[in-house]
Amino acid sequence: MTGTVYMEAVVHAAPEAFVSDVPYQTAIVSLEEGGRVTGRMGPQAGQRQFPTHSLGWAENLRILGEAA
Amino acid sequence: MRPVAVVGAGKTPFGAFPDRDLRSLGVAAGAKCLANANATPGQVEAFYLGNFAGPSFAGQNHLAPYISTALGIQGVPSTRFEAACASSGSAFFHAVSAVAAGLYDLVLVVGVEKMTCQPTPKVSEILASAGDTTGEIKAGSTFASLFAMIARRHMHQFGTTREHLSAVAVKNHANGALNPDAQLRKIITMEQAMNAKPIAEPLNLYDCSLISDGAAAVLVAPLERAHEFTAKPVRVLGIAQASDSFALDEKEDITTFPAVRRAADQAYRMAGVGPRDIQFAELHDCFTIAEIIAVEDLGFVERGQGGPYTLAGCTSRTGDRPINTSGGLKSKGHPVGATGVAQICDVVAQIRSEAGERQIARHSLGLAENLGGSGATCVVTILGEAA
Repeated sequence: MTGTVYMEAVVHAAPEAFVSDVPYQTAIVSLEEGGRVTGRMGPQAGQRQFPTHSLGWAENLRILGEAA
Repeated sequence: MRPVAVVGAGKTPFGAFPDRDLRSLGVAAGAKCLANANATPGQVEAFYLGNFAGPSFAGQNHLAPYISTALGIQGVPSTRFEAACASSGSAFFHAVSAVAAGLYDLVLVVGVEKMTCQPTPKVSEILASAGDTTGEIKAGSTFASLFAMIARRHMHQFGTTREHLSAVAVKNHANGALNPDAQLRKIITMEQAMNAKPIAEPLNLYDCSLISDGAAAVLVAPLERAHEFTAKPVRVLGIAQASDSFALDEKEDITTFPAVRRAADQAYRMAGVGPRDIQFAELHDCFTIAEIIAVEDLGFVERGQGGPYTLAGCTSRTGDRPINTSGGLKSKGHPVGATGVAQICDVVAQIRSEAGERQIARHSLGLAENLGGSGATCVVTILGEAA
């Protein structure tokens, strides 16, 4: 799936279930096929930092639990 | 519909109180309010409780009679309202509606939350249950991250800056420092506010409201009986509750809260006033971006102007329209279920000239805005001097 990052945030203080994941990035993506979903974003390939200031194009989106 | 007044108000201080439980906080605020109105528990005809998550924080359910019976209120309807951070705003809205309709004369409304009994990640988890646990929360969102996303989009769309966000925090801390009942009575500098540790980027520690214990109460009565209880009744000129889509990803545009706009439109119409007439307000600054968007949604400024308006000092105690003279959720504290009624208490204190060092010059017409979740519920109340 592909889409556009409508907004994002990087979580440093997490709820109990996600404490070991911090920091991690959440985003709401407007999907090419229509609709919006909230999900987690990984760092871009070859980068360690989250692209925190780039609302825009997103690719390689997958539903949690699906294979890459 | 009968005209309605607030005839009594009482709050506990907000903070972390290891020796106070949920019940004792609710009882303390309720008793203080009844004393303020020279009323007895036996006169109360209905008890409305605002509480968000007593069952999760304190393991206690059936909370309304749990608190009302301990106050000595017996036999009358006793009901809990839950609408996330707008729980007690909603309880107050329904109390005013019932009194206006002639169902009861005297309704006691208490808002209470006991949060500091749980560690922060658990608090985060309980707060997140006010979001969509099958979607946004499952993906790891916290309330801070939901509002961080709103901030990012507002910055992207309108050019709102980090400095604009921090201006809200600096102002509200300056106000809270003068409030003896505030949790964090501490002045902060722009530099401190800009450089605090990140919670959910772009929001940092000083963009976020506090984890608090506390309670607040008001006594609602028909205006025609107000003078039996107080020499300084405050009239409820307009009030409305509205709702909107639940999860952020269901919203068309997340830089505005349609529930705030709807509730405000109705409250303004009921009061026969417009945004320009409002002299001061207590707004729901659960996060700094929420206050910026509120001043826009309430019609005080155009969309996108909330940040510059705040940075220019227009909302400070000496500005055109002081906002959150109590310190707001930011500095006063945010015991979630108490916040809506606490805002009413704070507006009432200004109108009655009882705000001490925080007293502002023009204080005869004020507004309170109480937001639930990420905008699915909003209650807007307009209060004024009873003629």
